[in-house]
Amino acid sequence: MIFPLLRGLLWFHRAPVTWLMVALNVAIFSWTYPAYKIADQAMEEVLDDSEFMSTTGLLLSLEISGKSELRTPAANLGVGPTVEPKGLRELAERSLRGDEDSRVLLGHIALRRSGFIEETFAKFQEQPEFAAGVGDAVAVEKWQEGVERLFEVQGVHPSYRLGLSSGRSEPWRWLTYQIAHSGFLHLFWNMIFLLIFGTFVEHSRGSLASFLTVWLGGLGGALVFTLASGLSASPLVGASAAVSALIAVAASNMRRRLPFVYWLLPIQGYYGVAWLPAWVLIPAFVLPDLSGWLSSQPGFSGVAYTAHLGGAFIGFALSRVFKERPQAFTELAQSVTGTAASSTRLAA
Amino acid sequence: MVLRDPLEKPRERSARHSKASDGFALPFDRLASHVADFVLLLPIMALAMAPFRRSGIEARLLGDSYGADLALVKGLLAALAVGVLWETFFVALWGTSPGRAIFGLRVVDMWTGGKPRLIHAFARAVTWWASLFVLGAPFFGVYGNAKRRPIHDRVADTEVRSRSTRRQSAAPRLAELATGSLFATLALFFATMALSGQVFTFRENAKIADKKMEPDLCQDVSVAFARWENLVVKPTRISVALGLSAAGTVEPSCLELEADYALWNNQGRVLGYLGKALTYYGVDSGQAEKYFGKVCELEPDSDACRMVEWYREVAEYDSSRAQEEVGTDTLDKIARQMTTTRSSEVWPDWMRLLVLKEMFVHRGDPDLILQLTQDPAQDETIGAKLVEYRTRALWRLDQKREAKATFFSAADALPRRQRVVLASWLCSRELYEASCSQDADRACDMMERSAQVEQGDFGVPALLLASLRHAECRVDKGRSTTASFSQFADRVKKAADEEGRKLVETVHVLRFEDRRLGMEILRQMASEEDLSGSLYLTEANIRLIEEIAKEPSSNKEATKELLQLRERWFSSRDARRYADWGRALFEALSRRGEWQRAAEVGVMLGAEFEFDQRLQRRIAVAAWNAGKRKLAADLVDSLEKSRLPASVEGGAFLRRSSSGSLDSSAEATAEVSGESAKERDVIELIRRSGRRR
Repeated sequence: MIFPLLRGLLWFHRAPVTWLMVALNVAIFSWTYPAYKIADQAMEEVLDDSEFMSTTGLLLSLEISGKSELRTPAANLGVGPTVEPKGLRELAERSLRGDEDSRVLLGHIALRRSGFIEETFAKFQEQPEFAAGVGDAVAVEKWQEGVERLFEVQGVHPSYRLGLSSGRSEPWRWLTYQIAHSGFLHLFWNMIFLLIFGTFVEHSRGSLASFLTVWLGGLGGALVFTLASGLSASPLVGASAAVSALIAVAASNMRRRLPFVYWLLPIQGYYGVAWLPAWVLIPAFVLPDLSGWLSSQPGFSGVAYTAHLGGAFIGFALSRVFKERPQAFTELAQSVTGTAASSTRLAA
Repeated sequence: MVLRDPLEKPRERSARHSKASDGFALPFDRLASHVADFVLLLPIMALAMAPFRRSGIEARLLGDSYGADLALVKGLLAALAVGVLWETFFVALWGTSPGRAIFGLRVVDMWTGGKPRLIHAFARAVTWWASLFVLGAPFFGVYGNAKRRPIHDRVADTEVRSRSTRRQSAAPRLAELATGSLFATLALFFATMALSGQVFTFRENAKIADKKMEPDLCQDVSVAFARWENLVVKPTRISVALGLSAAGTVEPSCLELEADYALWNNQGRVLGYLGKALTYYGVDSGQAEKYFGKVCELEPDSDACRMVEWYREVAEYDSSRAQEEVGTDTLDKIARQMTTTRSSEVWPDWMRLLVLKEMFVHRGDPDLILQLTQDPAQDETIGAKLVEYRTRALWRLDQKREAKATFFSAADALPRRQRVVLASWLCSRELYEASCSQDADRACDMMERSAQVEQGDFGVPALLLASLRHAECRVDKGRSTTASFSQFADRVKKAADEEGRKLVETVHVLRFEDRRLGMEILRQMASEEDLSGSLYLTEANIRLIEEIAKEPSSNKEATKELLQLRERWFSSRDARRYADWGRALFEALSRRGEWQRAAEVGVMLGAEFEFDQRLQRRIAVAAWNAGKRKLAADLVDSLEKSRLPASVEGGAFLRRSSSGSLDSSAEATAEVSGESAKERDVIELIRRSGRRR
């Protein structure tokens, strides 16, 4: 267990921008929380409606297996024919042969699939006679009612109102998605990391560096996420891409020693503070995102690993622009040990 | 404490290796050094596992738990390879690893005091990881060895030394040894439990991996569909499913599955909608109506839509809660169209069966039923259903010999299950209506030959009751002994439930031991408040009525009890369903000259489908005797209307066996049904009175 040290970085005057950003996040979250709670429950209800999910899954099965052109060709312009993964094709096959579990599973995938629900719904609305010929028309009619309910819920859900999704990708969302969080724990951990690394970056490279790293990191994260897997229909929210960018800035000067809290065994002498090179942050915080991305099925993971990696990339790039103030590290060492100890020796 | 800098140049350090002052490392230092190693190692291991985790997730999503297990094992092996590589690389190159370096630990060759050789480092790494695999039990060897060398050190001829003079350990004391052994034992125990559990699950998953469940459509439909494949006109799955479902051989859930398949795969949408509608029909009328609407929207002029019209009519009647039954005009029209306008080959079996089913439930024209069941079906289970309908329709028309002929000529070709069902139906009809006749013997013998105890057939109440009565018949006729009846009872009891067993025992007591006691038990069973459709309790009532009927008419007590039993029948929730119960009451009451009360029972019985014409004539006589002349005339009138249908007369394959009764004159019918001359006279009287009116 190893963790960069907070001590000495908590003073507001040393990192005002970071603290303001944390405050902004917390404020937005508290402000939207009542709406979030209600909307999230309504969303759960939609997701628990097995009939709706089953029909959604069946509709996606039709698209995957190429049995029906649910969306207008214009929707696919520029994307070109995509080959669906083998697993998805098998799921579609099963769901069409009556496997209820596969249907519901595909239903969940369909809700994340970029534009699927919106475009299918729009086509059904525009061409009712087409809708009547797709699968079980009675179920499809009911499905359209379900979609209307879904849209209603999305209209008031803070994650959808602020987040970045395939149906909602106006330019301002590329920034606002970072200040929306899905749940208290999501906010809590993001803010902890934002504080640790934001104050460090602000202290060592200046407020502008911290400010730009956060917002550009978030922007870059969303961009890489879009390029790697396409925007999902479920919204991208959270400050984690920005946090990744800050971590990357902190780790960019790899040989620089930073104070870490370590905790190896619950026995005295095996925990404390150690000065370790900054590159330790990379296996500890960046590598897991890479393996997370490699080990997740596209469209299934709840974590936007590619956004994290994109943020980290932006962070490394920005670290070339904003240079470190060497003086900052002397101060850091002082704050940790109380003396101006040499940062090349480990102390505990 | 002061920690060593892991990035201090390793080469300098290895040069200091052979310092004599180096002592054995502290066990906790060794543990902590590994934890520190894992901070760097775990992310790399996770990276190595990533592709396998990905395919594991995919397998899990597809419900392939064996594939998921396999991916997990592969992933663990990949992670293990990384771990072994890490250990081997650092120990062979530097004699230490990043984590160990922090605590100033070195792995040294026992003999040279220098870095271990590559092969030794590799062997040590493999053993170390293998030890971790059993929850690290072998690591407790540090407490059991004077030089603190667990198995991986022994394998590689190495020991772990500490550079720091203040962090060195002496040989372990006894207490340490004891604690170490205890923990090692515990670790091994839990490792065995956990690993064997894992291996077990893995093997179980591997077993079902071969027969990975196909998320498949309805099995019965697939089988029937495969049988049909040789035909010129291949039906769709949904039409097969509709047919089987109408024949009652598949569950409604099966029909729904097939209907969904047809709809979403474009394999017959009209029938798909009809199938969906039928699964909701009678359960959720709103939903059913939506689907019915789709059927007629797609093909307004189809057979399916015509059926829909009928279903809607019935639904409307049901919702209006009308007392009288729904008129069958629409249904009869469809049936008539089927029999006249087109040849039967054009009519799909599903349509025939749906129409027949409805005609049976709503008592459509029996003549049409006979015409519809004339041609064979394409599937044996559906064909069996046609035979059943035909047999029962003939029975209802009082053409019992034709009915039997139909059944027996087809019996051998019927699937076993259907043969048992129909034979047990015929056997019970014979036994209840004509008691121990020769024909009853024939049907019951066939039933018993086809039924299989091990298939649980005797667990079916109707079959058990029929074979019980039949066994009694055999004893009565001297074809069997009391002992063999007991044997039969013992055999049957195994398959029956508690009530069935009790009834069998009671009958045994009643017949062969103590009639009084038997009747007492019957009274007790018969007075059960909640019949809840139990045939055994109904049978107890019937038995009781039969026993009481044996008392002379002068026994007022017996008559009083009979009337009580009559009240019970009237008050049972759905008296019509228990027609044999009513019939027994009617017989008992009319034998005692209680005409008024018998006629009341008779009117109620008239609502039952299995009600035959002979009984109807007798009810008419009872009504006449009770002074209800109009009722009697109406009954005879309706009898006249449903005279023997033309189709039977024209039915060539029946002529052979039933030529005697094809004449529909009153005399012939009377002869067949064994009516008394007195009854015939009364009927004649009623007929005349009816004409006068």
